[in-house]
Amino acid sequence: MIRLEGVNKGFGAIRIVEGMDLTVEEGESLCLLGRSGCGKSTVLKLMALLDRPDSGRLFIGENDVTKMSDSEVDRLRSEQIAYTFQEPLLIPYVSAVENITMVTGVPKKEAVDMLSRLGLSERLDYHPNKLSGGEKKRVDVARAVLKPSPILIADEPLSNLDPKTGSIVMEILKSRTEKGGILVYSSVEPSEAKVATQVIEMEKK
Amino acid sequence: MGLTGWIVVPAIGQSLESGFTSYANQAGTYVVVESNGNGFGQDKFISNDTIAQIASITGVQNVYPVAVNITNFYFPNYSSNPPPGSNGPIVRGMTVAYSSAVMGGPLGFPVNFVDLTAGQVPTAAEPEFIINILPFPDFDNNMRPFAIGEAASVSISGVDLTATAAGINSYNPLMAGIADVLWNATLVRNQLGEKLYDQTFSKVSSMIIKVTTVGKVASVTEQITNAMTAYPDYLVTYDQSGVTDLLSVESSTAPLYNIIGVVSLVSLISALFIVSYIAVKRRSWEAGLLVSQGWTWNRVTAFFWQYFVILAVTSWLLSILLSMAVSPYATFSYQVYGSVLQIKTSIGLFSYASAGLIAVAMTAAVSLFMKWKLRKIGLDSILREY
Repeated sequence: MIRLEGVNKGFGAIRIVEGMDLTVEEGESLCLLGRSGCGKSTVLKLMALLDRPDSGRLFIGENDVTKMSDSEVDRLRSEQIAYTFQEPLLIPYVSAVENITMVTGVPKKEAVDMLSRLGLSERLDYHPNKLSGGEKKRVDVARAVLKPSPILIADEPLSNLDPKTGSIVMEILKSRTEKGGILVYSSVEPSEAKVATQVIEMEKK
Repeated sequence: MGLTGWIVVPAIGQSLESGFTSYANQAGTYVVVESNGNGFGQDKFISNDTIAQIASITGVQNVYPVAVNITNFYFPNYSSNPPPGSNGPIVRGMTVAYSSAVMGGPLGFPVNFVDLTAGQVPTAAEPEFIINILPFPDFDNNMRPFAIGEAASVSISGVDLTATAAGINSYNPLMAGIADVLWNATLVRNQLGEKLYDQTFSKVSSMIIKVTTVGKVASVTEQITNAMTAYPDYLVTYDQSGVTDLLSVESSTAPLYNIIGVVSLVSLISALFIVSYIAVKRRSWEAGLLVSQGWTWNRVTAFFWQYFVILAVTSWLLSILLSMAVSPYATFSYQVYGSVLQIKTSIGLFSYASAGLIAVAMTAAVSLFMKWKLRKIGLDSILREY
């Protein structure tokens, strides 16, 4: 379960998130829908424990993250959360497969199977500088999906993807909830929110 | 380069320091007691009690008593300087008395001061001698060179023989005054017979005194002088200017070596830290990536530390090779006491090992610093650098 209670977050004088409340239970999926700059990524980073709220309370399961030390948050993030970036973040000097195996520690076969499922069977040994934006995105998604964490948070996972590949990616993401996991993702396209059990529309302040 | 500097620069300092100290303690720590030049065959030879008294002085490491006597050299066709008003040199037979001693044995000239610059050590079977003073003074105080292999008619305690110059001892201004000529003890004993030999070379008329350190030479000399007050025909001398110079070298250069060592260490640490910090700063987003994918900061720190250790060990091995290549060129020559003191740079295991330890320790420090710094910056900011 993820729960936000009156969460506020800003950068300097700019308030990005104000008094946000939400709850996502196990087996559910949440889509944060809104235009660029409305704060979706900020909320996702808070949920992914990559940043801390300025005020309010954030729970991952029964753990009140706002009261935990940095080390405890580290451990919680390590055990509970997988995350994909809006802009795919890959290590440039290793191949697509190695970007997955090196970071997640999963066997190479699992990485190869997942990349093949995402249409990258012929790009397995390519370094990121030889991959297109969409291909990088799929490697990034594959890396997060293969991490055995109960919570998967994806920042605009379908951007830069063609509709066919997008539907495959969404299918893979959604499959996490069928096993009791939690999926939280963001999108600018209302059509991509249809598969979510819960949608929160966000507006730019 | 930093590691090489740390290995080589202090090693140069240590080599210079130990080289100077070693030289100071070997060459600058001798005091000589010898005749004051008022004639030979003093009425009072140095007694065993006086020798024992000098040996008991604090700071005296060893006493070498030497029995010195006369060897007469006869030159049948010696061309001496023309007297005033004469038309040319006078050629005549000339006998010149040279102070002489035997090499080795209880009252002989210490063999550890025999270091030939030419020729060879005389054998017991051949009538040969060593020239211990250069230039070799003759009757007119001309500097007559005595060539190796040149024969001369000589007389020791009335026993005549024809002897050949076999070798030339390296010139030591302090020791050279003790004996002009050095003989093989067995040869002289055979020529003179036991009784005459004992009469000739059994009375101590010179002493070489080894002092433990150069810093004690002056005070020991003063005490020896006091012990020798009953012997007015003797002088107690040491190379005062040499000792002063050596003390100055030791006292003024030791702090310099320490400064060199500290500067090298600080430079090395600074260079390693700056290089590592730049490397970390350029790749901080990688740490952020790994943390975002579930790595703990401790795991990221350990990962980067391993990476830095590989770089450090590689640098260390390269620095060892570079140090080995550079050190032979770090040889220093100094003009001292008429000879050249050469000091080669010797790199000890400590230098190599400490460089490796410093390199690895610095990688650990940089890794921990990186962890602290990146956590302070925050993940969001780190990832924005990608």
